[in-house]
Amino acid sequence: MNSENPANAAGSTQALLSIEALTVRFGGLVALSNFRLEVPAGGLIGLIGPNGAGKTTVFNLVTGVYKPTSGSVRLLGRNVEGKSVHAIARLGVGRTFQNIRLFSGLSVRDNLLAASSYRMRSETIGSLLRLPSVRASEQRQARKVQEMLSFLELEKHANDDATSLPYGKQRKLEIGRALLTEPQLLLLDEPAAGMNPTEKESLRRLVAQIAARGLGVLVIEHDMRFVMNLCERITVLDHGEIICEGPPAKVQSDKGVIEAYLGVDADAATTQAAPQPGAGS
Amino acid sequence: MMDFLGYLSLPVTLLAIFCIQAMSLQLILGGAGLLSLGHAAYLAVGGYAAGAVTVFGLPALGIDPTQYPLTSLFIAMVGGMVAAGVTGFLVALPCLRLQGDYLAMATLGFGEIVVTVLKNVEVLGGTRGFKDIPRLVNPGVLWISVALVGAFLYRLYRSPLGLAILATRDDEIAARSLGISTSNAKVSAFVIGTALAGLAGAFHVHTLQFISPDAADFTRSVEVLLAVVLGGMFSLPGSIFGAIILVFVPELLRFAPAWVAEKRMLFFSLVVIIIMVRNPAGLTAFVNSFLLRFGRKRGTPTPSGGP
Amino acid sequence: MMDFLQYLLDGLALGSVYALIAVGYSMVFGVLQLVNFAHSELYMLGAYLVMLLLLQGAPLWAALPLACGGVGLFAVLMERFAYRPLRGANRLAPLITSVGISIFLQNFVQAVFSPNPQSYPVHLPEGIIEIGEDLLLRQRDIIVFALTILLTLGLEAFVRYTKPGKGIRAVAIHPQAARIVGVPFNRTVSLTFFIGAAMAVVAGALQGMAVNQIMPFMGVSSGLKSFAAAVLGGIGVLPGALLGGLVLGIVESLLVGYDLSTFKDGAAFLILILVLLARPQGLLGRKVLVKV
Repeated sequence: MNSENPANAAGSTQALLSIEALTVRFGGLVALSNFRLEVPAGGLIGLIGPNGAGKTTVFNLVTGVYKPTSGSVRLLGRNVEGKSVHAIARLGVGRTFQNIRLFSGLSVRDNLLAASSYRMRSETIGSLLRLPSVRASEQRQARKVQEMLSFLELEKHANDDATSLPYGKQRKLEIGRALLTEPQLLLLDEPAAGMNPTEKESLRRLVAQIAARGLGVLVIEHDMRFVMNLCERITVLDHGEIICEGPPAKVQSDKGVIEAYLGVDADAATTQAAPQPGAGS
Repeated sequence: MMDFLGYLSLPVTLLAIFCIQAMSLQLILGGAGLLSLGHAAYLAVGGYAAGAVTVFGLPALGIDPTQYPLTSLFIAMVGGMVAAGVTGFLVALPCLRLQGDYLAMATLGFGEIVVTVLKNVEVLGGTRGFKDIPRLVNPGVLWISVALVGAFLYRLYRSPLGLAILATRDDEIAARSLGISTSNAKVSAFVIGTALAGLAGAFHVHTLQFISPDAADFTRSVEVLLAVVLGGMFSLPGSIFGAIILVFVPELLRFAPAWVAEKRMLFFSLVVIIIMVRNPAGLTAFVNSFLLRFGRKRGTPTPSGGP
Repeated sequence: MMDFLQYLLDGLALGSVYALIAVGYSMVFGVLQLVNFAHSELYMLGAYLVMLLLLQGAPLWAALPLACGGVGLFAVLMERFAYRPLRGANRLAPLITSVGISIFLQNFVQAVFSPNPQSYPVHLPEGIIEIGEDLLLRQRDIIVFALTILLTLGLEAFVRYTKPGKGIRAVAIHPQAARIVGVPFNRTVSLTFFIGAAMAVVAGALQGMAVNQIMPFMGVSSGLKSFAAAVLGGIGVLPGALLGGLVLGIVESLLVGYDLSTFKDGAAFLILILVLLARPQGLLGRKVLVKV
């Protein structure tokens, strides 16, 4: 199955995520047409494009929120089209959202702990009865959460309401929560939005570290410099179609890409993180 | 003094039962975020089932409940919880896919259907109600049960299932992205809540020795809803505060001029409106300041995502 | 067969009242995605307010618009001070608040008037028209039905051809897009509440004049049934409210006619649940896609 895939650039190792000929139609509107993408283990792939190009749609198709009209989505070789969101998540997919989705009624610590609740679900009765075996397991989870808190530099806020954190820290928390599900594939939807340059640099390093640990990372972003500095390969979407794909240098100098951004979205560029002076030249 | 204590014993007994019922709704409403407007129906179903166990079931097996009160009560409790839990499950399966407002109406509809059904079951008394149920309950059993239910729910909120329920309440989409089956979480919360309401029902019939279809009425559902909201719907101890208020304020008002007592629903509903508009944390917010443990800790969270 | 037709005709007037109330549920849900639990109490308030004005000597043609205005204004204030502050993520809060308002209004009216039914000072004509040999049409039924059709058509015209009306439709279809093209959101919501309340007031007055008695809790069962009607017809869709109301009225009338009246209350709930489960968009509604 995998060895027949001509687009498998990583050679014999199976791609974590393999999308082919993916199309989705909503009523009469074709939101995504003939999309393809691959994320290898340890890969850092960027997905960019003007507003409304279909980037979040790709995420929603991969995670099972939408069902494709045609085409395939394969996670570690297994077809997942039509599976439910939580089933796909359990296969090893972690995700963050364009509009941060933290659990507003829970503390920072509990948001992180929630990531393990699925895996620990069989231990609920043991937890109620306070069985020793379950307590040991709970302590392990608590340690992992504590490690993540210090990794994200959020220890001081552990017991605060998650939504009381400043915006940048909320984003980090969301990423940390996704990581605690111990995924193999991580989908980040505009993780740098609303961050200042220092935070963005810290985020860039964080994401690079994540990929270095062997996870495959797919990033949607509007900040060009961020994406160009972080990703190995970038796919550019416009109006639901791929207009360019390749390493940053290739994408930066592609005429079609420049037109799509400057020609159509000159206004939009001023309302989002505008392409930095260095990018695009 | 003894007279006064004797006088208090009925309201206190009713308070215990109401506490269990309120906590059961708190799990569904505040814990899982599901507005169930027909909650009284489950107390009724549990009560009728428990009564049927001691009035028909046990005698049919040759057991006289009054000879073995505790065992009979226990069996009746189980019967009531199972009946109410199964009913809750049957309601939950179709309804929990509905979004909030529709869910509220659908649960209300089911509650009314239960009333109609109970009125038509002649063997359980029909519209006249189910009478002559043996009195098997004493305050000790009741209050120990209240404590056990409270402890159970307290631990539940801190268990993996509890976290899944709370996460589902706060953001279903995010919860699913963590691998949580949100429908399982919601159904679990609903069934546990309705089963506990059935437990309250079992106590109800074996204390008052009577139950009528009106116990499933919308008015009863509103009362328990008010108790949970007044106390602060996101707080487990809050539902106990609310229960205390809803049981004792009318008692206190008996000493006030009659016209004041009649207005109590007016007063309660106004307070609920003010609480919801100003601070859904309810009275717990006031108690928060010196009982910090109960306010912001996990399990009794106050969603800070406001308007 | 004749019996069936008779029951059908009888159901039209009953259904008209449901339809008028259902309009309010439907329109408010369309613009705010909120079930205004207190809407049935607006119906009840309307009945009482019209009665009050009539008792003061006002003629019907003045009492009705006055009451519509009064209760309409109340509805606008209710939205402004109880629902608007709660617009936001927590879907439970406005719902619970509306339950609270509903209970409050019931008890308020009960305290001010009395829990007992009040008789209405003005009645609809008692006359009966015979059709052929077997069918009877009550004059009051014709009036109720005709008025309902008129009001619904008028409202439909308002929503289609006037600027504020188109604003309501726009907000119901896509709030953000409506804002972008300049539709004043808050004012449109207020207008929606006003119109819904006004229709409910007419329903209340008609009910009072037709059955000659009103009670503080008259909104409770009529409310849920009208909501079922709105859902059946397709919530958010105006002709749906009319269709749903009429269908429900006919169903109830048939049940009473065929001696199954113990089920007539349960029927509405059953219909509600079946529609919500099998076809949530109702008979005339459109399926809505939710964007994540």
